Amino acid sequence: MRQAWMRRDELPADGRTCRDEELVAAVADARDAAAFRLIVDRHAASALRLAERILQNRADAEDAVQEAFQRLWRDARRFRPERGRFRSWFIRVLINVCRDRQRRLHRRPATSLADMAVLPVETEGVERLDRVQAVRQALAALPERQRWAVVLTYYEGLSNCEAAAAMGVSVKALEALLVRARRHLARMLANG
Amino acid sequence: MRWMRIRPWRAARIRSGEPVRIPPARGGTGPDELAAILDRWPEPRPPDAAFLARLKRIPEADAAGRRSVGKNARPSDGLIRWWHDAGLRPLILGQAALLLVALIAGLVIGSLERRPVITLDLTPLITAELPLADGWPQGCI
Repeated sequence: MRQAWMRRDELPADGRTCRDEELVAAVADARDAAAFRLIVDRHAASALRLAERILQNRADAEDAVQEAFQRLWRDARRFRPERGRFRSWFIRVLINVCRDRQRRLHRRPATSLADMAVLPVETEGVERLDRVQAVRQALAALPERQRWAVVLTYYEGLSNCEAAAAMGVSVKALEALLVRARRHLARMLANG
Repeated sequence: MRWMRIRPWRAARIRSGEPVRIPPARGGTGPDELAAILDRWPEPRPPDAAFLARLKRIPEADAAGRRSVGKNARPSDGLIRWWHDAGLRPLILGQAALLLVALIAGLVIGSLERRPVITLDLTPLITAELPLADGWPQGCI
């Protein structure tokens, strides 16, 4: 049930002080484009970072993030604030979009030339490039759920509870995924 | 499982107030070492301004899309959109697969050899020549 304080007419003029949940409620109830733009400002960077870590391709990641925000605009009503934080819900939407894309593309994550260009190859040489590639390949070789668990908890810094909520699994299941992922990574990267 | 083995150890350390340190995996890379390895993957570039602008235009693009659908609407468009949004494809494909399996199973079972029908032919008993020398036997027809 939506609460009265979530209505659009009660949002402050400067929405930057609003919580995410209030902004989403404004999008859902009043189709408030300004609130939507604030959500984009807050979450686009982390969503893109996350999608790029998973899809390992900048163009695919941008498409996935755009689709996730489109779903947010269309289906903001599906967010239930009593079930958890907005960020966990939105990451879950993004996970579903990325899964759909990977299923549709039927291919392993690929490395784009644009990604390669950001690596500091000139300063630290080819060895660093090899090490980075080894990490990317090791993560890409992990099973999908283990990869999500590592990216969410390690690279995005989510707590186990938040990551479990975002992935739709229990905390114990997430811990088991992390243990298995760590074991896989340690085996693959031991000589890296 | 490994975490079940280490959990009592961790719990005891936590209760005693001693700082917890996850032991390195046997013959493998320790958590610190692993973290150092994972840190080698640099953070992806932040989104550029054009991409952010594209995201912020989603409400306008959506409204424009709806208007154009309203103008040039084909009867199938609504159905296609509903099909896409509802995500029913896996459900329907699953049901079709189930029906196919049931059909194949029915065909296999139906093609098995039928059991012979047991019939009792009483004709020889009725038409048999009965010993009538001493008249009709007792207890017979």
